[in-house]
Amino acid sequence: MMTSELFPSCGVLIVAGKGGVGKTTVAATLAAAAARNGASTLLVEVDGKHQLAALFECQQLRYTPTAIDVDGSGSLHAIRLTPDRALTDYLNHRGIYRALKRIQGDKVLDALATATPGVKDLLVLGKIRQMEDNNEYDLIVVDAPASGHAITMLRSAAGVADSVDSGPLHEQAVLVRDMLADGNRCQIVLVTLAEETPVTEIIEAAYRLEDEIGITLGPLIANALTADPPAPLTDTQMAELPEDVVESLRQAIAFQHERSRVRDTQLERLDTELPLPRIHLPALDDVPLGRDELEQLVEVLESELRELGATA
Amino acid sequence: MNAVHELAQTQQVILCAGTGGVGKTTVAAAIGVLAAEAGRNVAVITVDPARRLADAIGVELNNHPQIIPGDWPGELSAMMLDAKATFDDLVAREAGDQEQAERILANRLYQNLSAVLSGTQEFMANEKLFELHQSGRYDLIVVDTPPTRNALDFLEAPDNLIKFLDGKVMRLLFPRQVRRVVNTGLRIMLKQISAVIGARIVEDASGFLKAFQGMEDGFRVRANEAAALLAGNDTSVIMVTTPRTETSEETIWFADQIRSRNLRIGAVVVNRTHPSFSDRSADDLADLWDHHSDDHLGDALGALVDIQVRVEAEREAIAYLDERTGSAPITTISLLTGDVSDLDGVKTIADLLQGTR
Repeated sequence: MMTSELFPSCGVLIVAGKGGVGKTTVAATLAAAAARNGASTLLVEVDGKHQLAALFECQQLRYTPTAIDVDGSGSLHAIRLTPDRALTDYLNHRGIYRALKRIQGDKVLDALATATPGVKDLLVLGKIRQMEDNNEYDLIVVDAPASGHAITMLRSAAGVADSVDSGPLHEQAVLVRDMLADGNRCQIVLVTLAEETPVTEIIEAAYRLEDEIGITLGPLIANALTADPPAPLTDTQMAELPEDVVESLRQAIAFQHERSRVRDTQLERLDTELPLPRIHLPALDDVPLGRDELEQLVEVLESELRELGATA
Repeated sequence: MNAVHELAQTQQVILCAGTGGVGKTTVAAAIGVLAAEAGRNVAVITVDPARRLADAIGVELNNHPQIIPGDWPGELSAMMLDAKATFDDLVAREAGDQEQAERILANRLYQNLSAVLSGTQEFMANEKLFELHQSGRYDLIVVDTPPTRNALDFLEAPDNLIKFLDGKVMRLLFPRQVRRVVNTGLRIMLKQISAVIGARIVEDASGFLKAFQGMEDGFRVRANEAAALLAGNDTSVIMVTTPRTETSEETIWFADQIRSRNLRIGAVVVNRTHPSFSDRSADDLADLWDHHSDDHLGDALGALVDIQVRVEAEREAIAYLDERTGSAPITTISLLTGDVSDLDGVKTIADLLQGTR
């Protein structure tokens, strides 16, 4: 299966990047591609933006997996893990939620968990780790929060492991920390646009993720790339066109050239400053993204993955 | 003079709000430049700036406004919010005495609170805005708020903290009447809670909450004053968005949220619109393309059609936005071929904003 060739025996893929780079679309594309190629795949949404439901044109995601219809030999489920539900789930699992609720202890606990950095983030990651451990899915793709918040979230495991010296939460933190640091079980896929600011941020984030969390960096995704500009035309070549169109063409070609120059400069920066295997995805026309667009992206992703596999 | 330009010259507070990745920080800085060019004394608070922009502005930004040298009659300052330092200042000011302040500042939980507790950064941005406004040093303060969902926290954070400090949880943990008899129910509950999340967390958290006791009133007064400032006539929200269908939906939703909190939306800035290179319609150009799709003109005409299709889609998105965001006037900023990463870039955006370019 192609996806597993690219991410050898890797169970969890965390997709992260600056806001507005198309992280959710990329996460959905990866998950759909994996499912199409035979993997039983789970796609996890951790913030409440409900974008995935729109992309797959399905009902809103819930805390229990929803089956999503995909072509191919695998399967795709999607789930929405909110911190609050993760906390309730954790307490239920330990069999004390009802008892606590009766004496209003759930409110106190919620306040303490909210006031204590990292606890709720950890519980979300704990739930993901538990699903990984159950081996129910070949691949779990996580649509992480925007980069700053993603680092905070991923750091929660080490943070709680240090600040809580014993007990179930400590155990949970250690398990999650170990999973994050094990490149055979978990990798992070960073998404960026080929523009100066997002590239700068992703380079910074990549080094912090490696240093602070010890997470393995998977392939980098350069998203929404502009098309190559058309070749410049001479006056004789354009002679048969109306005059106003000739002028429009000149301007459009110059504009596209300048845009591609920016794109190429930034891709070159990535070559030298963040040398990871890289996947290029094209900019799509502005229509509300849905299944058709997703399919288009899955096809590009598949050919990019094949190419990466061939050069590896 | 367009709406944004006018707001930059008349308002005392401008909040730039929008989803992530739409260029909010740049627009906030450009509004700062417009105000300084109009001779005003302006401070820009950025919450989560791209560091390159901060670097490029030429001043090392910290938690206090630094003057940005420029050839304008007014004065432009900028600062990058340090939530922890702002919280420390607030605690020091609001604490009953120095001992209380020190007890809070020394609490383990408090120490890493600002980095992680959701809403802290938003609350502190609000606090910083209020502090700068109170100082009377600035004619205008521009706030680059956190991305959409967090920006609601920005508006609600003070209330939430007060509810937290003053609410049910506090009364449960620390009953007002000090009882001689040990509250066994509470003890059992805390023991259970300790068993699931760890004794140290309970200890740290109760210590933290206890240390804050008595400070609720000060917080409440300040939060009310801050809320009054935001709801007043001298404050406007400028929504920043891009001409894409998805961002438009988010912006419309967000605009409703802002209005329901009685804030005024002064203008909508649509950033990064594609330039149009032809007066012809995309359909018209596509017909021309059909005739040439197999010859040497095909690629170039195809590219022109693509741009024109996008331009028309953007016009529709903007018209839809206009219809749904009501009375707020829309200003567009054309897509630049390069990224804005220095003061000249910000000035260019300022020129585009006021329509002189």
